[in-house]
Amino acid sequence: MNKNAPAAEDQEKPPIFKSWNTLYAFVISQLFLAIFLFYLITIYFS
Amino acid sequence: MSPIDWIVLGGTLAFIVIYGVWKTRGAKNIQGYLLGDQNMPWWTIGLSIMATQASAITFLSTPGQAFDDGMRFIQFYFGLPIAMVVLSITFVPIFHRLKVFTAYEYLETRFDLKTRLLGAALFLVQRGLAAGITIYAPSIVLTSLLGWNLAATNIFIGTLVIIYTVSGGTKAVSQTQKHQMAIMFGGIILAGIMVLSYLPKDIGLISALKVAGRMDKLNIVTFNFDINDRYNIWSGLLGGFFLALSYFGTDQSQVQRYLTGRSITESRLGLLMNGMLKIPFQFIILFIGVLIFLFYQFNRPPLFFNEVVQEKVYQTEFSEEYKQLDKQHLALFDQKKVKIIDWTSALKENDENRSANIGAEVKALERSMKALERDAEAVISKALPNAETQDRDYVFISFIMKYMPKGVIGLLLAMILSAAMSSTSSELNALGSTTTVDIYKRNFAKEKSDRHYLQASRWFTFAWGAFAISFAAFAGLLENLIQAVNILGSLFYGTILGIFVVAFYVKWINGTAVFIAAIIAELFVLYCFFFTEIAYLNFNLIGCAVVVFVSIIIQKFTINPIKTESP
Repeated sequence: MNKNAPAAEDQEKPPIFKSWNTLYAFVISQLFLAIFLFYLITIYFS
Repeated sequence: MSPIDWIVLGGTLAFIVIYGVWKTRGAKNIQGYLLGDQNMPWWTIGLSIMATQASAITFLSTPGQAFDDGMRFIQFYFGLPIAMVVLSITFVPIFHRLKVFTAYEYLETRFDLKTRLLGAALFLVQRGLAAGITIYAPSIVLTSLLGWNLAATNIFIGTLVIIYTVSGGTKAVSQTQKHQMAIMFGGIILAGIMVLSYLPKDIGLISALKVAGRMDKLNIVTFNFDINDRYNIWSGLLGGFFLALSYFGTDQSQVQRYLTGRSITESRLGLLMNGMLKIPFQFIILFIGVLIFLFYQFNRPPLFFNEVVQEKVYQTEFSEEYKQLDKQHLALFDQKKVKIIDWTSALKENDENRSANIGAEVKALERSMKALERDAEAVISKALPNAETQDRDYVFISFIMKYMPKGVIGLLLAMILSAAMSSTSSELNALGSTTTVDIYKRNFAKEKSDRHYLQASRWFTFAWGAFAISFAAFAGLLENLIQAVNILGSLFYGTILGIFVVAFYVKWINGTAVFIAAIIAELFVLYCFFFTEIAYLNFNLIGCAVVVFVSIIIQKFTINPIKTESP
């Protein structure tokens, strides 16, 4: 084990976002937004 | 290649190696060498994770994939952002809290020593062999087109990586990967702009893209549910999720990247950055493949993209047969080009009827050209029985060599070699770390000094580098390289993921149950590989499911259930 490692700070908030859950929701929503845009491109050019 | 290309290529590679060695010289302890003193900011971690995943094959194969099969390959990455979120919630806090050097250390805390050794051994076998293929794969493509010596290219790429990875450890890997990613981002954007500028000006990009779309190259999202179809939204979300979870969560070459974070926050942000950028990154690379496809609608493509092989065929008795095919291919191309120009003008005028008629004619001509290409492959097989008849990996590199201006060729080759180096360095770094921490220190040299372990790590990293170069010499015996890497990963990832899934989520199962289940799962996966027709990508899910299922059965019915403390 790495005994010199800094103490883990599990409770630290992420930058910009209110909480980790908000950030996770943002990442997932960005994925589905991308899929939606890709779908529009697929439809438009097919 | 012109002197300016050699200067750009040589200068870029020399800069990376010298910078890596200089910036990280004098690593003083094992913590600094294996975890980069755990002071990396999130963006360095994110870039490092992306650089580890992006190998030379990403740049050589992916544009060819889009050229041939359209952009639907991108769906393979749809599960990745979800996996990054799961890893941030579950894996990262546990690894940080336990202050581990390797992912497999956690298995001893949760289960026992034998399970840790099993996890480490499965990783070492799989990743050790894969490292050889990672070096060999770009070498075979580059040597085939540029006439370089294959063994010398393997040794050259391997030695460059060994120099800075052995010297600076994890810190050198992360520091150089920042620059390698900058070269990759810059190179791919430049390549995209260049290809775009080569399209005929009077056609218009939107009309050209409509042609690509109607020829199924912009099929980015496909909803058909078919278990035999590798790339659709369902396999991407589900299969891609499991693959990303096992690769980023249990493969030390990735785990080591986010263990370098100065806090849980930095590690999480690094993973989430990868989750947000990976899909746009792959989109650009695939889109370049589509642009090259469009370019070859107006400029004659070769009958076979590996033109060195083509030249060799002309030296054989099959030369005349091949020339006839080439002539017919040219005639079909000329007809198709006229139709394509007509098609784009119909599309511009929104004349749907005319457009549909011309589209049908173009598709028929395209099918005839494809049939000729298959015939050409058959002739190549007869003329040169040992030649690779798959030319998809040569589409992008052959375009670079033929059409890119001086200087840009050198930069794009530097991009491909940077990608080869970035993934190989992470692999060697992780192999050296796992051998030192999980095998050597844990079993053979428990109470040695920090300096001793530092030196041991360097030697193990060097030894794995030498092994990878040696294995690369034999990789030519493998039929298909990309497939070989994927098969190798799929044979072991499922079992390792299953062990970690049980560790995290089924708290009442103990070490002996999961150990036996993992052995059974691995044997079952090997049985499936050798004796069944199951597609190898399914092994990830099968291995994981068998470990979870069998360990539950063993624990419930044969071993006294022991409540294990969660870490």
